[in-house]
Amino acid sequence: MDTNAAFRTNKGLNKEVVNIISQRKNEPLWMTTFRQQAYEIFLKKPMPKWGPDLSGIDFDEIYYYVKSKGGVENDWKDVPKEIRETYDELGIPEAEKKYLGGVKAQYDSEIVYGSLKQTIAKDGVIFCGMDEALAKYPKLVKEYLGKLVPPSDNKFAALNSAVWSGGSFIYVPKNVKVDLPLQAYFRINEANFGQFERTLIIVDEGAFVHYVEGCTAPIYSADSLHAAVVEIFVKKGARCRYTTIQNWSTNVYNLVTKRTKVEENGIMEWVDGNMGSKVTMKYPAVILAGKGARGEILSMTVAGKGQTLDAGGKCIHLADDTSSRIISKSISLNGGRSSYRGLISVAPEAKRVKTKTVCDALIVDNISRSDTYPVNKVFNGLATVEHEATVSKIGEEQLFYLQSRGFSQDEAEAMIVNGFVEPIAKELPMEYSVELNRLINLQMRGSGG
Amino acid sequence: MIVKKIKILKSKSETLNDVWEFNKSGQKEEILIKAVVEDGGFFEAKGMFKIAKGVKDVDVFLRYRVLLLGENSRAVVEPQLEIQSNDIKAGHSASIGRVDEQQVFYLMSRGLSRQKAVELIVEAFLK
Repeated sequence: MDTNAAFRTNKGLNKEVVNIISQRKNEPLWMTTFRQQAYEIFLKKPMPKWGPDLSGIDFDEIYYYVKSKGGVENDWKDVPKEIRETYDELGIPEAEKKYLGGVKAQYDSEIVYGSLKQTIAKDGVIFCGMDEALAKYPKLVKEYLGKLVPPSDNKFAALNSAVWSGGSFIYVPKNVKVDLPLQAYFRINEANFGQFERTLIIVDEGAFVHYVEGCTAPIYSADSLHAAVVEIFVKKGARCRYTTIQNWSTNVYNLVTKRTKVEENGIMEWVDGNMGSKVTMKYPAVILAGKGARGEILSMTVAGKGQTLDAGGKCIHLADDTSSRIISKSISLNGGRSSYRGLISVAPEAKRVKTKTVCDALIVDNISRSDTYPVNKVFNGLATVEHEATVSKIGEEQLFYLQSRGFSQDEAEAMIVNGFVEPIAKELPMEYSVELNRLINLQMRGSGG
Repeated sequence: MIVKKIKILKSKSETLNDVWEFNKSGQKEEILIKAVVEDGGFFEAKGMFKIAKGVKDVDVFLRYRVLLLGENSRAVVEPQLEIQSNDIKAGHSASIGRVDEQQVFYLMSRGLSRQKAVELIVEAFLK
């Protein structure tokens, strides 16, 4: 691939590559410096010493910046057969297929997006790509970027800060409620599914926005490393919901840092679904910094053959009367490994905190694996912290009942698994939840019970 | 059923670090760990359940119940599961909280002092 790319940096990463990226994008000096400093931090930071095996990542074999003409990127016949078949199975339209397969750089959705853009712009809502935001709203970007996830946070946050490209920028002014979900999907003029996306969302006082990232259909990517950073600021009384459906092809390391700061009486909701990738490490975090703030994390993973999906959530309670809830549903099948990793932290000065975590795991067959690693740190005695987790298989009685009703074993198992993820699936936009159902059926057919 | 009870006095601390491996089929076990933490006390517990590949018909549960008596009582609880078999049931729970104010209120309405009421609730909790 990439032979049609209009420009790309050399393989591997060094100071010069970082500078070239910044130059090509005509960035202000502060951003160039930000990238350079992040690169230095990246060099110094060790790889995480916990969690899944990341030894397969070769930092020297990666192109860190590829700028396409917006024309053909991949050859359709290079897209793996399984993925093409999945598109057919899901009934995805031809144009969309090529986009998802990376054959077309853009999904032509001007008709859908054009009218939405006009509606929200009237209210002063800004919704554009990060690169565009940096050029048009440098003050806003400078004020918030890297303030929640600084480059020094972890090795991959440093890498993202050094070489980021693409991602979304959203600003919702005070008391504006955006009715329709904003989708990265609808944003055009650049390839949406970048390797090192950087997303920044600011929801001002009393405002509301729902942002949807990704889609249920598998996204083929020839790039093996994706390290995104998402920062969200929820101001006083505001609410933000962020829905992710991740279904990268199974050659991808997906290492993402997502974090929100919620001020007084604000609400943050993460709905995080992970199905694809070779390895995923993703723990959306909510920092409850203002009195009465609330955080909610719904996490779902489906780990199939050769996949390690390490996901979960973090709720950090810094203020009085803050509350949170984490619900995690994970499925391991065909030899896959899914792990829940979570943190509940109550600061000494945070009074009357309430938090509850529920993790349910389903192991479909005897070659798969499920892990649960929660940490509950309670440093204030007025807190109420609850955590529960269960791991089980598909119930024999349930199977027997469905089979007695005439369903085959495969059908019955797929129904039970779909029922298991229902609490998360029903929180997804309708078309996503339908696709998720079909996708689980597809995966289950291959499992052979 | 295995039950462990711990009382951590003012400004004291206690650390538990347990690993339970279930390598035999047919094992059923419930483990309950109760801790009462006085003001300024610190309770730290890690508890891992491991179920190996090929093990069948195992049903195990690990439960932590922590009662924090003062605003400066602290607890860090990490129950963990590593499961490599599907013919099993495994789970854990942790609840960390303070004394139920409704229970205190009830006992006080019966003529007990606040201190006495809390003492009684703690005693019952550890029973």
